[in-house]
Amino acid sequence: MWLRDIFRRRDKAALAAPRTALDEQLLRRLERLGLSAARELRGGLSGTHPSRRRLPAPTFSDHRPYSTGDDLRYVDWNAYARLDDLHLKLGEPEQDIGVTVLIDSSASMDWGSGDRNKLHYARLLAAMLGYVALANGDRLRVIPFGGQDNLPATAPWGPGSGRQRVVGLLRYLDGLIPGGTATPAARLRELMREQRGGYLVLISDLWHSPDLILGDSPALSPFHLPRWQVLMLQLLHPQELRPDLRGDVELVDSETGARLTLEAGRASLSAYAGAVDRWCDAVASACARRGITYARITTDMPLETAALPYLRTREVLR
Amino acid sequence: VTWLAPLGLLGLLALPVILLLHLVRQRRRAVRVPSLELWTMAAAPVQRKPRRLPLTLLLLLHLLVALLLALSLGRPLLPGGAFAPTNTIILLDTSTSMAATDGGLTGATTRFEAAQAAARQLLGAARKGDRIGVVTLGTTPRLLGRGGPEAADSLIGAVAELRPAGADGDLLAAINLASAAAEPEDGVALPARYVVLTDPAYGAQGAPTQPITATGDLDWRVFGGPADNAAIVALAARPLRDGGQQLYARVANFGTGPAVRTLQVLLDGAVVESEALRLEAGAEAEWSWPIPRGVRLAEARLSGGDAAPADDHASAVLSGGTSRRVQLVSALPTPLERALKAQPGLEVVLSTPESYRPDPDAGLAVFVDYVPAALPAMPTWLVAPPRGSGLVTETGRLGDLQVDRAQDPRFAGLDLRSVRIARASVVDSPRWASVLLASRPDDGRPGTPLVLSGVLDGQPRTVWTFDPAHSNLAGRLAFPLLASATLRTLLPHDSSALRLGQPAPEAMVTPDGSSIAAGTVLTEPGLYQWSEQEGTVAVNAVDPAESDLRPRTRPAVESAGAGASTLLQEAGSELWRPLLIAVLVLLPLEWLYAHRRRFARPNTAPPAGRAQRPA
Repeated sequence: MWLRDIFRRRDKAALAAPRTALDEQLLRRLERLGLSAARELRGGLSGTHPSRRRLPAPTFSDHRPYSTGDDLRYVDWNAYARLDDLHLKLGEPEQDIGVTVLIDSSASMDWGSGDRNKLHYARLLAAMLGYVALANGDRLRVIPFGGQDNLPATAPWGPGSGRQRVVGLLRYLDGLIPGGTATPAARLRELMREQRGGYLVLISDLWHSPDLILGDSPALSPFHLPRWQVLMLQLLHPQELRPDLRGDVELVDSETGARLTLEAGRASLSAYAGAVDRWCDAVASACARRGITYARITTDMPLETAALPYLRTREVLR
Repeated sequence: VTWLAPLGLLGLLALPVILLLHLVRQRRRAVRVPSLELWTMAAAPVQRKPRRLPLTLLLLLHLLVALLLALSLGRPLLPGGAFAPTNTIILLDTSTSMAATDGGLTGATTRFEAAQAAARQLLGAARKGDRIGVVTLGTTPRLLGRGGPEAADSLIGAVAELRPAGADGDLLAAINLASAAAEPEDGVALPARYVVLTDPAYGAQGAPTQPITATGDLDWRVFGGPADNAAIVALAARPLRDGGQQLYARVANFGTGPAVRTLQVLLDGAVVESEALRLEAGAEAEWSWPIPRGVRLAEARLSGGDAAPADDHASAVLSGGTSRRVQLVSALPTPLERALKAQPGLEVVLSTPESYRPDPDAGLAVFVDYVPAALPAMPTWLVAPPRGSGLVTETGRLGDLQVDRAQDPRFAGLDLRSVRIARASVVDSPRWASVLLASRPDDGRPGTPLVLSGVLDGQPRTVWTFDPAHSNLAGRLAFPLLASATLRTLLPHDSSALRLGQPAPEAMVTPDGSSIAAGTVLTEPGLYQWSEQEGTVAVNAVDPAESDLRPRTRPAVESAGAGASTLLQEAGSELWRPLLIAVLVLLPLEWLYAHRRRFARPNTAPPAGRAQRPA
């Protein structure tokens, strides 16, 4: 048996990340949370998110004069008694929103071992945010970009709503196979065509995506309120920020296979760390300029005790 | 360390090749990173530095395996492992005195057993390239065998089969035989070494003889020491005129002090005499006793233990009622009469065919050119039986015959080459007889039986198909010998002739019931039976020279010197086997180490900083 294992070529499936699973306690905790969606977002009429639309609603916020066709149930009869004029009570109706999670499954995400594997962490993040959306009655879609195009798992998941869909969601996320090159721009263009708006969560390391947020006409530029609210979660491995390299090395790009010979000394590592910091800062600035919520998460952050509080602090979750 | 195959060390050339391969194969550590985007901005150009050999465990394992293989190919030999092969010939004394059981022998009960153990040790120590051989230093020196170390087992087995019996051997003859055995084979001359395994009683009792020259080193190994011994040195019976017999015994004390013993005489197993005797050192005493008729076996026993118990007992088979009277029936005086009368212990009675009447006291009837109407009920010797006698079928006559070499051991020792037979009958061998001697076939003329022997009507009958008067036998020494050999086919043997160490004259049955062929050396004292005829014979260890266990002067031997061997032979302690085993152990380790990453591969891609082959 041992010998057979030695000579057997390991397949990709055997190298897959640990299964995506959320424990019961975390699920209970997530059920009490919700995505901080902007009021400007235009969603459906059966959600829990606040809306800027002034519609007759049980929750009073304003009056407007009655016009023909208005529902008489919303007439403020007290005001009619005082003013002798018909006015309708207007409120801020709660709405549901379409939540779209774009998850990067390119080869660069398959980096790091065990629980610190970026794709595994991205799956957990997607599962967590997706469960929050499903539990709040939002319509959830998961769209991977990158990945191996010939596999069915790269097809989008959803839309779906209701927490009963979480099992299907987890199974779908488990089926994501890393590989290929990140192509978020193409996915975003498709998304723009297909959907009129919603809450867009983008989970990626942002490698090989220069036109996503940076540059003159980034792919995310059409995604802004009131149609779209974008949450950018940049997921990085700690060693991507501060690599532990020594000596002469030959760096191999995980997606393109390009090679770079490097003498990993203090100077080069320091230069790289500075470049990474500047890059992350540039991404954060660009996101801020375009009204995109940006959060940088490293895979050494425990999901429940570090990542979740961090997202709450950044008001991604409420 | 000696290298037996120095050319194998050329395998060491693999070491620089391995180093070169590792140097060529050395690459920078490949590290998979998610993206090179930022690295291209940060990376400083790598300066070309002289390539250094990476001192990795894999390289060390490769070098170690190659080194061990190359060394094993060179067949290293530990210092002291090489030796100059020798040609060792063991001269093993098989005389009766080697059966002495004197003290001081560690792990053995007799001197011979100690010598056997030493021989085993010598033979077992033979190494590759050595030559070994064993020659028995007995009554007749005999080469047991020779060969290389592969012959050690068979020689050890042959030595184990030996028993001490007989007189001291002729050292010169034994050394000559050993020298012949030490003759080089394959043209490779090895220094001869003769190891004589003997006891102090070997050698001359008087002044040393002329020195013997041996072409090699002579190594004397003596087992045992001075030992006192009293022995029966003679036991014989002779007939008296009244028909009875007289038993004669002689006892000698070969010890250094007086011996007080009791000599018992037993007749047919019953003690009839018991003589208390006291013999001073070196003294002898003799006795004789009358033996009544009808006694078949007389024994003498010497009480008390000494170093050689074998010579404290002797037996004699008495002829008893068996007559040695021979009735010769011949019409004319014949040379056979003289030949018969020349035989010791025979009483020849003459008669003619006309006056022939069977002699009831005769033990043998001899008919020359005559066959009675009824053969007597006794052993019968028929010489040139006339045609029509019915004993043999005569088909013709041949003249001028020569005698062929005999196969029967009783006739094989006779030199009959000069014998010419002028005329003989051509006969067909009858069913009851076998051919003991035949004429030599020549010129297309087949041979014809000359001596036939067998049992007819319950009695041994021997036929000479020729008349000795028609040959030149009468004037030859071979004639009485031929007559004696013929008598041996008809008469029981004389009981007093056999001694320990003597070859069996005929096929016999030993006291323990096993059969031995003619010519086999008699190694056990006791009563033997003839296989092909009735009667018993006593084999005694009565030999004063062998019973005297006092140390003697060894024969002077001049060693011609063996010279140092220029041939260097490898020993059995070569190191290539352990080296090869080490290689076989290291190879799987090297394989496991080289593939260690495959075994320790994580479920996901390796983290940064871990080397990985690029896709």
